[in-house]
Amino acid sequence: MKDSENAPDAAALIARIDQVHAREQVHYTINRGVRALDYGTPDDYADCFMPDGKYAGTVPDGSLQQSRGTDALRRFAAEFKWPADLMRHWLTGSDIEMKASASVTSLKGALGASVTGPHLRMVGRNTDVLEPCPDGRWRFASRLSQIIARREAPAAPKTP
Amino acid sequence: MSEDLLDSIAKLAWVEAMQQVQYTLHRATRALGYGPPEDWADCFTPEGTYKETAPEFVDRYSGFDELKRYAADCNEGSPALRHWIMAPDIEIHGDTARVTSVMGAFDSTPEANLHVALVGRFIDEFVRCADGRWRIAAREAQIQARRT
Repeated sequence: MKDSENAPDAAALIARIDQVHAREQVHYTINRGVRALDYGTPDDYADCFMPDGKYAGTVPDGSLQQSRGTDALRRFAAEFKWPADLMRHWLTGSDIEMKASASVTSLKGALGASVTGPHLRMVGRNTDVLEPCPDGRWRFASRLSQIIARREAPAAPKTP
Repeated sequence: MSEDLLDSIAKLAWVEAMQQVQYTLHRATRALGYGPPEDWADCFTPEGTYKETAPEFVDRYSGFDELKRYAADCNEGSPALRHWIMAPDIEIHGDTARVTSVMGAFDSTPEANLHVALVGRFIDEFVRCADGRWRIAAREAQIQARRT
């Protein structure tokens, strides 16, 4: 067999690189969204979404919060406040299915803190659809954030 | 060389950098919990620095030997202490990277049972090293809440 017959096809190689690049871009946006929500800036958070991207969040009592478009998402991030001194999100176990768009399901949660120390405050999942953008980034076309369980901060110990 | 191929080479370099940074982040987490301390120190550049801040203290360590001592002493008195790191936001700039990660630790003690011991974030400055690895040139560990 000639060496040229073993040489990788350039077009196939480029396609494979595009695939791993796309998957890494999805990771990048997911993690950037976590940092931007807790530490800012609201612009960074909104920039993780497509210009007409949609966020929907549900909590165990069934209530729903929705934001759509860059301005609304920026406001959502800027006004995001928890009834606690500290709330830090985390996210792990992202199941990423790459096609023309990316469908991602992640375990998510948050840690809070009170006078007794840090504690697990909330768990849930994010169901995301990301799409490729002209600048090479992948951004959320939609995010469904489902809080499955949460607890209020423990009460401060009673002082005598 | 075609423009498509040049574009692919740039993409591949970015992916490799992202994955090398993640390799070091996770290697450091494993090494702190399970050792050996040399592995943790090796996640830093030879002159790397580690600064740990909490509301009531600031500690600083620099260079391989001090970092190795920190890792060796980290779990002293609390053998079940296990750190974790999640959602690293990685910004690559040429041969350097800035990374912000959520971090915390679980612990278990006879008094408190299994609990969240601390939560905070890492802010890391990475550099690409001659051996191809990316290592931490400076890490700031901001402990924002911890069980006392």
